[in-house]
Amino acid sequence: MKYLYLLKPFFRVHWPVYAAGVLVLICVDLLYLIIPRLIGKTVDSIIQNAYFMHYLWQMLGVAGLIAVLRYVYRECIMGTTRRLEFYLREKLFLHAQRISLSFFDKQGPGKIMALTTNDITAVRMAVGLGIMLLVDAVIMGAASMVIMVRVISWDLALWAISPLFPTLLIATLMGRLVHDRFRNVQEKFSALTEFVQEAFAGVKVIKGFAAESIWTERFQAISGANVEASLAMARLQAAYIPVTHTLPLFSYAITLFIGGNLIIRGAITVGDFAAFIGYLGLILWPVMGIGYLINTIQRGTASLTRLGDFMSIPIYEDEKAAEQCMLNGYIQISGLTFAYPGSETPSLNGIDLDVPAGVRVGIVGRPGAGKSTLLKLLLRLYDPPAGSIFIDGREIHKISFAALRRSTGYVPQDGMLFSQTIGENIAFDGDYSRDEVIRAAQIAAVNEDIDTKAEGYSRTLNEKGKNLSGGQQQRVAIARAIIKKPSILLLDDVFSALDYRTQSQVLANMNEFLAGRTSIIVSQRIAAVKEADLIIVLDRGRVVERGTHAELVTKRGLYYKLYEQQFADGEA
Amino acid sequence: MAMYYRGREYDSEAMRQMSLDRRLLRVLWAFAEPFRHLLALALVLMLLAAAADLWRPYLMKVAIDDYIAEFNPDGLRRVVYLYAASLVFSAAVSYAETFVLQYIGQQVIYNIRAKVFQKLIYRRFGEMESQPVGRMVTRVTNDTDAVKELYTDVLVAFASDIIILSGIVVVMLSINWRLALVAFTIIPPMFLLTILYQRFAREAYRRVREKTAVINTYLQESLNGIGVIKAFWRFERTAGEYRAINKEYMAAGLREMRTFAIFRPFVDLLHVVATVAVLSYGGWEYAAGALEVGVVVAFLRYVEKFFWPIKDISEKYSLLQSALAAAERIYELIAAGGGGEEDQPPATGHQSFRGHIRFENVWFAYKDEDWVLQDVSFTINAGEFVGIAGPSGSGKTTVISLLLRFYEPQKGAIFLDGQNIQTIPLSVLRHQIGVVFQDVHLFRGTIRDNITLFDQSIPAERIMAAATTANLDAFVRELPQKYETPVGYHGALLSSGQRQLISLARVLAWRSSILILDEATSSIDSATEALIQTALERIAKTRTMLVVAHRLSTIQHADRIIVLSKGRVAEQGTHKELISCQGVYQRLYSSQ
Repeated sequence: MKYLYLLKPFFRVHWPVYAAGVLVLICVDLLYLIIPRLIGKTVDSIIQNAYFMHYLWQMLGVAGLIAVLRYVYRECIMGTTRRLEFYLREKLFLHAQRISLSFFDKQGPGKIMALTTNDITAVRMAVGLGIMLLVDAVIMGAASMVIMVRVISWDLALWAISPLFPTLLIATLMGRLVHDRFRNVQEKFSALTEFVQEAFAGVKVIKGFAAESIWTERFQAISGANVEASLAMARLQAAYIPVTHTLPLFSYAITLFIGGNLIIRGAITVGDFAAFIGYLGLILWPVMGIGYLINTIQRGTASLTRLGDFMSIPIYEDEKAAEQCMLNGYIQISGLTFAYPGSETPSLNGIDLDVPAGVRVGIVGRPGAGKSTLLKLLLRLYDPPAGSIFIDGREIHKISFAALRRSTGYVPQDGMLFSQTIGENIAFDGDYSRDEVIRAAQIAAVNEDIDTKAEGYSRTLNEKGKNLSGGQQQRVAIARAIIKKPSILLLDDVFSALDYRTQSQVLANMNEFLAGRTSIIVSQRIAAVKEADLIIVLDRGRVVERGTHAELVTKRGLYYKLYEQQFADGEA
Repeated sequence: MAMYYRGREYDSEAMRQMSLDRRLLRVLWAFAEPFRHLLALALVLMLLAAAADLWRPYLMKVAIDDYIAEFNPDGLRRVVYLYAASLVFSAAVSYAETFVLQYIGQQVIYNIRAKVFQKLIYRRFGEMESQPVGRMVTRVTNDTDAVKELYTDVLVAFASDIIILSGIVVVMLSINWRLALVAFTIIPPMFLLTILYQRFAREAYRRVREKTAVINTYLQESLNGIGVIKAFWRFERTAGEYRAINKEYMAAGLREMRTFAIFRPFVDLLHVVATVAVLSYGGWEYAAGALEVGVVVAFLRYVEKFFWPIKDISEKYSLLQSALAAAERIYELIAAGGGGEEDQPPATGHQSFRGHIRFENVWFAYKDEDWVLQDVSFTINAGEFVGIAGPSGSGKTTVISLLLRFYEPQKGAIFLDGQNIQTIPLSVLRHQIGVVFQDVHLFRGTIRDNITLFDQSIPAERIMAAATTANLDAFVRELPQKYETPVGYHGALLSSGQRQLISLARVLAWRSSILILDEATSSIDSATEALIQTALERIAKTRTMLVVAHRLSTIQHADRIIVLSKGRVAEQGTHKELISCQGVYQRLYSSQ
């Protein structure tokens, strides 16, 4: 198991409790051997008409002690596994947060949800139930083996337990299959989670197109695949029972045959034989448990492998102690060419741009021209090639993520709010005073919209802020970036859902705020960029035009075309 | 990201009532009902296995008493063969039994999942909007999974255990009723213990289920917005929020573990107590000469056998509690009658509409009296191209939501071709109306899948025609995989303008009689938009087109523009008329 190391740091801390639990469990198993002896003594005493009550009291005493100890080992072992679960969940989440954005672009959160709930549970079962079964099997098995050999004869004992070897062998071999099939089950479960997550996230489209029945059909197919995988697992599991529970019983048949003949030949007595049968029972029971044990362990390792595979995805934002200083916001881009991972065609091609601190840049261009990509690279949400972006004269990879992103205010295209209060959404990345929150909302021209509602800033939003209008979402997202007082502000097409009046109000409010800050404004609206110190027009990843509004209009290029379009319609 | 899903606690007193359990079991049984023959078969197999298990000690006795004691090796061999044969029989029976049970369990879960998914997906849009996605996902995946064990491990095993148990009780009573009654004295405390356990265990399992949903909800939301979390370097805070939730889950898990850790040892303790009771009473009767010691010894073995099903039941009782806690959550959903959209009268043929829309004094509020639309009335003629303008938050998108019947107006009514839309089956209505939503949503799959919305029946030419109109085709052709290019999660592998073009193509391929574009071209440059516009106007001749836009150039050429302000229709008219009347539209226009 190459991924066992994932559990190591946890057990380095928690092993004493866990080990104590195992010790107590061993004690319970040993104490358990006393009870049959006490019963035997009681029966003997009854027959001899001797006083036997003290044996009964002892029995009750031992049983009481066992009950208490049973609780103790469950608390120790199972408690530890619950903590392990907590530990793994946290570790998984911390990792998920910091892996590359490209993972989520392809996968979405469904897989991580399945890993967190389903797979971690399987690991917990293996570590908890698994160890209990193992200890039971080893202790009980060994103890009765010792007694059997000592009391009767070792060759009969050896013959008697001979079916146990094929049992263990077959169970172990089948273990591999369990591993693979269970892994398949978990993967199908994950696929189901991913599908359902996406369906509910996109329910507006599904409903709007009355496509519920198509989605139900698709769901049935995936759910059916899940059943298929589970039944393959079930067939295996069903085969386990005969191997682990019935095959060992051949011990009795063998004992009966050999032992019976020994008696017939007069080698042993019937009493010896009866006792032997009794002890055989003690050794068989734990062996049956071993089958279940292997099953549980294999499930655990299958899930651990899935977890491990995920944890092996390299962390992108790999940074511990980071510098906290604010940048000034002098952006230089030279020869920036960038293609998304897995894509052959570059999204940006040989971009050169020099943005002194405090300058306002507007970017326009057709869909897919690379406008958003450029902003995301400035944030290092994706990794630009070395030596292509410099901020304050420092190569971007030399700047800590924390400093870069704390210095930058970013408003993404789709507002992407969270199910917190509006106030918390604005004060997203830190602790801000109420005044600061209101001030930011004022600049973003959303203050009035918030105040007119009864709960104001304490109003809790739905997921993604869906209970706000599109324009309100965008402005809350703007406020969220403004409150940081960043030295660089990146606005990615953030006025698309705003009417022009509100847009010009936001722009007017921001004018003062933007003074001294570097800003890059991507927009489809000439009105939003025409005041910029520099406007660049992107097309297919290249800068095709650059200049001020006046310069570009006289150039009569793509910019002019857009301008004319909007001007002719009276927009600009 | 941690507020509203904490909302409801699922531990109202009513939930604890036994009557609910009975209703729950009835619903759960209804799912198993179609498999009752298989269930009966499993029970028979289980009892056969039990019989074989009981037969073997008897064979052993016969071997010892009749053959070994008589020094008869041939007879012994015969018995050994029989013994081995019974083992082979047991192996076959237990294989079949396990598989049948698993099969039933999987089929039942498949059905429950389908039902739960359907219930959810056909829920009213308004209800779904306010539900965290993660919670709904948990219902379909984890909660149903937890119910499965009810069918695989509990149902039949309980029946078999009870049959075996009653058999043993009869045997014990017939051997010596006094000793039997002594042994049975542990039954009342056993019951008491079980009831107590059920009380605590159910609560504990309920919490576990609830917290599972909370974890999924949080994961779903925060990982959906991971880009923003990264951009704002909000890792620590987010981790802190998650940690708190994770802790709650652990607390719930520990609680669950403890209830069982306390309950289970008691069962073993009671076993010893029963043994002690039998020994002391038996010893006393023996001393009084009323009993042979052989009976006492035999009885001890019966007590052992008596406890075997009891232990099995108590082991499975926790599975039952866990399954019932999950079933409660599913039950709430399945049993909640009405409210779902599938309850609509079924479609009567494929009605075709011309696309005449009328809003008549429509009032609407998402909440209480917080009116978003106030007394809105307007008419759109079939084949007309109408623009809707207005400041953001003035109710433009809401108009569309009402037309699609995502929500119902509190007052007033909406008519399509003179028919109140409340009387039109939803699937018919929504097939008539094609919408490009403001918040574009793509699904994981290819560009083709997203245009067809996975409807395989849409032919390739229609897809391409739609894509050409949407000005998408040229772009797609440049891609190495063309229409089979994957778009990623939520279309993340494409730019937002491209995503808008795909949703536009989707609507065009859909062939509805009414076309609604809600800010459908807001992320597209005006040059591309103009191309689309021309193409659309050609199509619009045959369809009603309703366009919401802030960029007034988009709707300038509309036959008519309806201007909304603060939830009311402020003005209507053509671009020219509105400009001249110095109203809201004129102000919007001049501020551009």
